[in-house]
Amino acid sequence: MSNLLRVEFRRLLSRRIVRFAGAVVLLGLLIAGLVLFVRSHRLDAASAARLQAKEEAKYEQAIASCSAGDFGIPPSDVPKGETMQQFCQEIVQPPSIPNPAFHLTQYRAVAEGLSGLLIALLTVLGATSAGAEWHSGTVTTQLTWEPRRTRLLVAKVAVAGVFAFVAFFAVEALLFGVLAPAALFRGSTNGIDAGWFAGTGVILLRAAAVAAMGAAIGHTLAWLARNTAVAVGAALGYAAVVEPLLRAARPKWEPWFLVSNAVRFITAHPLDFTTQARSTTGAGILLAAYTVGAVVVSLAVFRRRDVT
Amino acid sequence: MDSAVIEVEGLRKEYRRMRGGRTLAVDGLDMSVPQGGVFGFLGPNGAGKTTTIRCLLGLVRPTAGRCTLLRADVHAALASVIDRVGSIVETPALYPRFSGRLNLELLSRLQGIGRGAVDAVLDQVGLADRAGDQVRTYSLGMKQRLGIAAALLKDPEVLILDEPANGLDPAGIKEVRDLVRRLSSQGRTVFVSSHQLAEVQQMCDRVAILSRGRLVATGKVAEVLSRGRREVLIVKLRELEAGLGALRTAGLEASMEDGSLRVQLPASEGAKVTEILASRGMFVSELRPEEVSLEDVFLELTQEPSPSQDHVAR
Repeated sequence: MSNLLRVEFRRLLSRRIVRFAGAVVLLGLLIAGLVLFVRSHRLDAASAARLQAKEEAKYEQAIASCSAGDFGIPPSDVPKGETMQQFCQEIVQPPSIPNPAFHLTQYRAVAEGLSGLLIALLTVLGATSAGAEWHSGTVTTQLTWEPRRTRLLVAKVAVAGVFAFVAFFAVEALLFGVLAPAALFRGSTNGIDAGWFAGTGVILLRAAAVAAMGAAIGHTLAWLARNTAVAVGAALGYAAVVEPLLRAARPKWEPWFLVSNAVRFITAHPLDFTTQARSTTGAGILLAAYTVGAVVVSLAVFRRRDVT
Repeated sequence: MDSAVIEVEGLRKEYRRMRGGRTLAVDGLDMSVPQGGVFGFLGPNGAGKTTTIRCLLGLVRPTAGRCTLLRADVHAALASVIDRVGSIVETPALYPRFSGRLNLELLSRLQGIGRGAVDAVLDQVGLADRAGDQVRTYSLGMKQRLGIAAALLKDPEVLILDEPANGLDPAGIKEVRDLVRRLSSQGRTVFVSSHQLAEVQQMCDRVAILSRGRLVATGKVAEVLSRGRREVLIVKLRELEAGLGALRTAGLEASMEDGSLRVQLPASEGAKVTEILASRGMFVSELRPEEVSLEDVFLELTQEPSPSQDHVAR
């Protein structure tokens, strides 16, 4: 089995699409880090006061324009007992001083935002890994070396999952690496302590687990269909069409939906529009059960179907 | 047969089609391949050769019957003998964007075979110079040779080669023939399916001919060639008419065809012909047994109407 796992890893890492995706992600992160580094800067007291005064002047000018009727507000819209100026003070946004310094604590939100994209990418990579095998016919060749189909598929799914888990963490770590210089030299690291690292680490760990399960499900779907496009289409169709439709038609089924539970598991919060949700652990267990179920179905079909 | 390395008993394979039909690919095939030598597996397109090979390698599940490979039941214990079996099924399927060497290395690592073996088989099939190139840039012949290299990597006792000379030029075909003979001389059993009958005739010790999923002939090449045929001597001489009369008068079955006489006699009794003709003052200019090619036998056997003409059941 260890030979099989090693070979699968080597094959996966040698794939052009994996290297290409890795290069694109790396380039994107480097560019993002560079742009952030250039744009981020700390404010000294004088600059902050100057900015504050400028924003307040803008605010006063907006109130004056509004009160003079420049905003075109009919007097009938002003609530009884209020003057136009009072009404304008209610509707014009108070001044806020933009802080151009990047705070490293923002990394968690950025990493969470990137998670969805990474999970989708790794799911597609998992599917292409299986689809490419069927497209090139190499499953036939491999079976003439390792005819035990259960071992073969389990090794492939395991490698897809482990690869996704590691790749997810690597990208998130790299993201931290490219954002950190902006915070260290031109921003702020306030609030970064062991507790923050632990909290962020747990979120990323759960997100990496979802990425691994996504890659495994993508792989099994493509193995089942013997085609990448069908698997990606099915996954996309489910996430973008089937689940939202079911959510609208059968809100009580919410605790069983894949995407809702994935979000719940990663963020530890239910989706905004959900009314019923599982616990974070419950969501994780359900996702794992779905993944195992997909592998078992794919395996059962693979063991029975001819390879022609 | 105790020394059989491949045995097929009552093999039947039906493919179910998407629209409800069924195709009978192999219909009750019984076959035994003895250890050692080159065994040719012949049949026209659609005869069931590749399906039989896929059943032997566990790629396809038989509808009925069983296959054993190196005395292991393919359905239950193929994994226990697969490291002793090298194979190519149709066009070798390898990763097109990986180099030939990487493809072989990935396979070799499955069984802990070292890099030295990869280099050796690449040399053996003449691909060492192009081993670093992507397989998609290879010609069909090169892919075929890479497939053979992959099959040789395990240093197998049994080689199952499905159309190994497919796509090769004449020089390549000769190389494959020599390679197969060499492998056989090393004590391996080579089971080779082919359409190239002249090659099979030169390369194989035994053959099996398949038609419409059924075995129509099997045995040593010479036996199959003489199957159901009476041996004929071709006799050439100047006085054809007189010679024909003399041979018939002597009680031999003879006829005249294409400027020569055909006498129904085995080659070992050729002296009888010369004796009869010489005693009447006629002298032969040529006396040889009629040569029958495997192609003639193959066409004769495979063009026979099958008892089951309704081959594709709908």
